[in-house]
Amino acid sequence: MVIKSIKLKNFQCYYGDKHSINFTEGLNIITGSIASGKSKLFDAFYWVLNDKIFVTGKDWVSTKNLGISLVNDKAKYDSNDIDDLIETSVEIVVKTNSGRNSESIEYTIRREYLISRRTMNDCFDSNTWTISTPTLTVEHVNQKNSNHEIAQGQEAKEVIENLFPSKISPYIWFQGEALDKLIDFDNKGTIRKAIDYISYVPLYKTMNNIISTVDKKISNTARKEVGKLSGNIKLYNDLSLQIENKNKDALNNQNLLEKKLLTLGGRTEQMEDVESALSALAEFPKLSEEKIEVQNDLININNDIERLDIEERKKFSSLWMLYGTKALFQTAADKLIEFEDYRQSLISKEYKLPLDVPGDVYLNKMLKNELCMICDRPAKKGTEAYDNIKGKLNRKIKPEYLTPENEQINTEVLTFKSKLGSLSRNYDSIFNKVIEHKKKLNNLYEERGIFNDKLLAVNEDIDKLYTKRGIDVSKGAQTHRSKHGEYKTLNEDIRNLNRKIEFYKASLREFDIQVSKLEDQQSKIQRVNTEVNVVEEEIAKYTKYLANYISQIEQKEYNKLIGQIESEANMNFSEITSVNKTIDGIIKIDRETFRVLNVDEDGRELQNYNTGHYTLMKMCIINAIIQLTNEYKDTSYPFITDAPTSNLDDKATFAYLESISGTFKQSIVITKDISEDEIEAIKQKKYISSLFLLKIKNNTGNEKMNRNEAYSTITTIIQKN
Amino acid sequence: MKTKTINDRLLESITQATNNFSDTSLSKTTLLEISKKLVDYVMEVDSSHTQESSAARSLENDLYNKI
Repeated sequence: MVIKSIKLKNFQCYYGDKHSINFTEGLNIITGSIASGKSKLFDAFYWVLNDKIFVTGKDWVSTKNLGISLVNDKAKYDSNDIDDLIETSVEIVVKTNSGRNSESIEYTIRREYLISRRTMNDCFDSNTWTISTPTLTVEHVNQKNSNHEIAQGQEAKEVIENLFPSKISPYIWFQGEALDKLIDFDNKGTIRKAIDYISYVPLYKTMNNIISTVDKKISNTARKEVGKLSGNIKLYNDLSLQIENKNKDALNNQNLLEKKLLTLGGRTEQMEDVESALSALAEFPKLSEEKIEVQNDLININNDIERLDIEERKKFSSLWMLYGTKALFQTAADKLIEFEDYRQSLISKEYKLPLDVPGDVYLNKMLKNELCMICDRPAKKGTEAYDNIKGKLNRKIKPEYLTPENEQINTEVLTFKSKLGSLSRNYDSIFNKVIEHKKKLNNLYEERGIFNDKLLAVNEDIDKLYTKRGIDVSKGAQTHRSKHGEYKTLNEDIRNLNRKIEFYKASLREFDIQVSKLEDQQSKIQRVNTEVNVVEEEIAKYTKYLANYISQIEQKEYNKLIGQIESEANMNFSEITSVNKTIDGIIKIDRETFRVLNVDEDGRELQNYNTGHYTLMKMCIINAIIQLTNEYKDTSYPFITDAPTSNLDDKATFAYLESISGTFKQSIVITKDISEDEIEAIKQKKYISSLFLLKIKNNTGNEKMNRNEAYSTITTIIQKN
Repeated sequence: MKTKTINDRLLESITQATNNFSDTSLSKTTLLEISKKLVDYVMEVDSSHTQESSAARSLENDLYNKI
């Protein structure tokens, strides 16, 4: 089958209805610089068949969700009336191969989409337009009656499914970015799926299923008929019944096993998707947690700072003021000490008696002698004179200064002085406390600075991640959490399924042994009437013989195909890599795990692959499967790819293009890797059949391409057929 | 040279695997005929016109007619 042409009308960057390309067999290259409309052209191919397009970061998006974005901006901008109608359409013409019993047919596939203006508000706002449902039609001329037939809706979809089976389409029509999903080297299921979807090997499974079903049915009937002729009908029928029941149970378990295997396949695929999603989303919870952690640290630091600040304001301001009075209080203390010294000097002075009063020594002497030694008169004990002398004993005169009032003041001074003493002892600790507080505060400020920088770095990483993935970090982290939940559930499911699968496999082995024993017993029972032929018994000999071989062929063909894929892929790989010395090795598919490896000549796995390396290996494998299947089925599908070589250098790109020109009857490669300067050189390359150049332009002469006026153009540069 | 059809290839894989049915005393012509029929039904199933169970029933009928 080949694609003869494509026509676009107001589709994305293609304004108006003057855009069409007539393709040839062989390699068709569509090139153009960035934003010239290459990917939009690929979208057109995909949209016309599938009603959806691939949007970077969003995967496949249906027309319903694309809204007015499918319609050309200039066409929307040109509209100036309510009820203005804009038609967006893509039409491709495909021509099928002629077969042994059929002629080739041309199908015209067309998808159309209308929007009508309902307000004169912003023309780029989707609320400004009423959007109709896209319509799909497939037209062809009936070979038998030459009638022009038009299929619409579901019928049209069925025609497309026949022309481009949905299982195969992703492998023959893909965008470079989608390649990783098709063949994921970390997801072993993808290679197995590619083989099951696009190769011819499933035909052998069908063959095996049909012959096994017939064999089982015929063998059962044969047993019943032979039983009727048996010498011990009761025993024979009894054994037959047991065999039949065992076979029924085995078939039942076989069906259950297949169901479980199918479920396991689905679960494993889901698991691999979940694992990929978890690994792709791993940065989100990490960054989200890091951000929350840094934010919490900052909250704690700010709380500490605030606490210290309040403390400083409340306590340290007073203390600091107190510290400022240190000199004043010191002077006061000194004065008080001076005062105390003075007072003490007064107290410690010997009280001096007045000159006319004898001292106690002298008075005691007088009392002893009972004689006043001043007036020299007797002073007998018991006399007034004696008592008068005695009354003068212990009679020191206190200074006038030590009056009770003064002593009261002194007491207060002493209290004040002791307070000043303890105050002076605190001055040092106040100073230390203030210094320590300042230090703590400065440390916290410094720590806050570090955490603010950390927060900035985390936010920067979050922004980068958002730019890269278009997902908000908290949303990404939330998705990661839910995926982790899915992972746990799937893990549990897979464990249970594997347990059940092992049980069913063991039971089937056991049924086989038991049936063989019963058949052995049955074969020992003599037949009474040897003249009668049982036809089913005869047929069963043929079905058993074929069923046995075909199940072996199925396995053999699978292994053979993997070997061929390896060899074919390596042939293309070595041709392409011969021009690029940085890419080497051999592609190897692990037969047990279906992992794709790049190994050296001794089978050792090579490390340090680069993205280009992976891309090339994947493309070589896909091409090999398609090439082998096309050869086997004697069929061909057009191969369409957008930006497959963006990871390769110039030499490898051309080697790749040459390689696919030999693989497919028709290939359409959309690439930016051919510059306008290279076009003359390209014309000389024999393996290129057609070359088309896309450019973005406007009619205003403005250099700046405004979305209101810019549109893509298509120019045919080479057309060899 | 005549191009091999997919039916030719499927049939060839059966005859090759059995070495042209050389290891059995069963009728080689019948085995070949059954194999051809089987391959035809496989192709019908592949083109989505028939289900496996329906193809098995048709093959069973064919076997009664042939043997």
